[in-house]
Amino acid sequence: MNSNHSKSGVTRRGFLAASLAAGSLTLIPHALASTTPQSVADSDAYRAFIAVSQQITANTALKPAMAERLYLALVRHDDSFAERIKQLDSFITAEAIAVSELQARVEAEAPEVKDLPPAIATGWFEGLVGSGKDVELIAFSEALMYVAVADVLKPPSYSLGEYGIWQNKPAKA
Amino acid sequence: MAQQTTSADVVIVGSGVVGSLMAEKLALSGISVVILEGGPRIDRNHVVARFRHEANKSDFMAPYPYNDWAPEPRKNNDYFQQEGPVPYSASYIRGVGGTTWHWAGMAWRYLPNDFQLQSKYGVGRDWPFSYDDLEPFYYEAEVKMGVSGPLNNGSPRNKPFPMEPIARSWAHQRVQERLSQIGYEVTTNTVARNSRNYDGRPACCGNNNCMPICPIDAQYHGGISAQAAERAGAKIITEAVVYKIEHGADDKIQAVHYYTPDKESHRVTGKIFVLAANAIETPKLMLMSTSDKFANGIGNSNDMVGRHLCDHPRTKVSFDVDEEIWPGRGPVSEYSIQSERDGDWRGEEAAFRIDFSNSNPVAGVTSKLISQGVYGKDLIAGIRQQSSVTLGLKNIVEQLSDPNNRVMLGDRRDSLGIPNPKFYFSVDDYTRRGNVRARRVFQEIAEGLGGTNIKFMDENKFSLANHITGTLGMGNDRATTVCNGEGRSHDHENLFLAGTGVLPTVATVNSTLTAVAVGLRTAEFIMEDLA
Repeated sequence: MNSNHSKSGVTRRGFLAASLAAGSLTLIPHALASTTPQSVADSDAYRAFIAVSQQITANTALKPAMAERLYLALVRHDDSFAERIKQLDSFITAEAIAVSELQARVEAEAPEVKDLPPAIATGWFEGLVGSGKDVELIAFSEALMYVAVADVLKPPSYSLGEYGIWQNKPAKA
Repeated sequence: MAQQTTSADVVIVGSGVVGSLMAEKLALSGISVVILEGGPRIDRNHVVARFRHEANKSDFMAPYPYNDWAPEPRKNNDYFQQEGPVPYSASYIRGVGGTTWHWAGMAWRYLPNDFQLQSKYGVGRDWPFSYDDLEPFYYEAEVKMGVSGPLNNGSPRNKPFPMEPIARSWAHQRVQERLSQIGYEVTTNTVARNSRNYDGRPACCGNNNCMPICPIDAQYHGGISAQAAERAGAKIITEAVVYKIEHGADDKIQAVHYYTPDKESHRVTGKIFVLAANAIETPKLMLMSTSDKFANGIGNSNDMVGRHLCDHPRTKVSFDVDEEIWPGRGPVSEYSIQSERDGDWRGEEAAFRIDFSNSNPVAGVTSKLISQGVYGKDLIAGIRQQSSVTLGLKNIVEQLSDPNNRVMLGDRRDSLGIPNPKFYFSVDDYTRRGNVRARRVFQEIAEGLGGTNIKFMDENKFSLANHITGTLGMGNDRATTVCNGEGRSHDHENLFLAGTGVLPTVATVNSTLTAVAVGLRTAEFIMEDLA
């Protein structure tokens, strides 16, 4: 194997980098599901955030980098986020709440965390955390609202394609 | 204290699309030109990057740098002071290239009747010249700016457009076909946007971000005009905030004075002076420049500077079409209806043009669904479904000139001690009747497209269009206008006014192309003066 690599001109450094990249790729779902990033202080809160996020986004393969960025922003904007997200996750789990009834049930039965589902949805889908003058952008082209329509539209400022491609009937239309 | 630093044949205040294209034309004829620009240079790639990182993407000013020495109206700032019943809002950019850094590229000509509103319909003002007089300059502007459009847009022309109309999106095609069945002709917009590679700039590739910034310069902007002016030999001095105009005993203008951001004062002399610093900032500068002889300000012996402010106090509607049209593919302003721009009724109620929005609707749709507590698969499906059917319309409605609607000097001051502008603004029954008719047309259009969830804007609210006109109005009547048909001040023979402020009527279209055409016409009188 070593001789093959030297024949194809792969350096030791390149080989290591390739190995690391391949390794980290296979680790991504595992890392997101159970490993708390080093930047996060409260691993229970992070796990709760991931669990709630998976419900709200209907997506179990959320990108780890965006998850970390969003979680840290939510904590930065709300001192009580880490405690309250655990409360919301426990409430959802204990009551086996379907996402379709989540907001109504939270408002009726756990109003102290009713602001969290829209905040988490706004983060994942719109890439925004906070409100008013404090609003912060944590994602743009990766925001899930643009992923949802990616076969038809591009996020504003990104090219749809060559001149006139917009004349065509969109595939789903 | 003041030091004489610069002199030129022609001194132009303002480096926007009008001032810069006038500068280019004058410089190409061998005249020395200096442009004084209050703001800094603007770099397109910087603005694109800032847009992508900006949280409030619906604020078209947010990606542009703000400078407290050259302030401009922003969301949540108090630069504009208000006195009238309707708050006057506008946004403009103080920087090299000016406000056409963010526009939708709409480059319409007026209609011939827009030049004779008073004599034809007994309302508003007449222009001091006719459509035919301006026609060659319209064409000159269209070639400079790279305008594409269809022939059937109501404004006669002697030569074809420089470019074919932009390819129609699927939404445009469907709306056009269906509305033709109920008698409304839908037209592809006339725009300063490339339908092919033109003048070293590429064809549009559907970035759908004409406002706040086209990332590829497929859409023309004033930054390109400023580059052209410099290539022709004009000199641009940036961060030069003109605060005083100085006249001599013969009433001719002798110099303008500007501050640097740290308030160092400079004096610039010239043979001819052009004020092209925006329809609010130019009257502000004239009103500030008082002397014993001109106690109300330069060019203002008849108290007309800043009056007759007009804009387009628009109304809007949105609804869901009964088929998937997917707006957001292609440019943001793509198609419109022209049939309401002129008619026998124009003596009684305002004319308008109807614009259809083709902006990417995804962010607004998503925000609304989340606020309704929709999450998970339903949210994803809702984003797709609602984004595919939503459609927004607005009317570019005419406003009659009223001397009470005006720009004045406020009592608040900026960091250089220069007054902020203050406004009295109102919307009369003529325009309100036009908006009532617009709502009827909106209803018919919505029904023609099987519209549901129809939402009209509150009839007492107005969405102003930043088409700021009238404040430096040109005309033959010296008592009620600021300059003559050449753009020359009634009070100072070597002072010319340019920009949208000189347009005496606002008509039913975006004002940029007409302001450029008038400016290019004014440049010829300047060249004659200096010959």
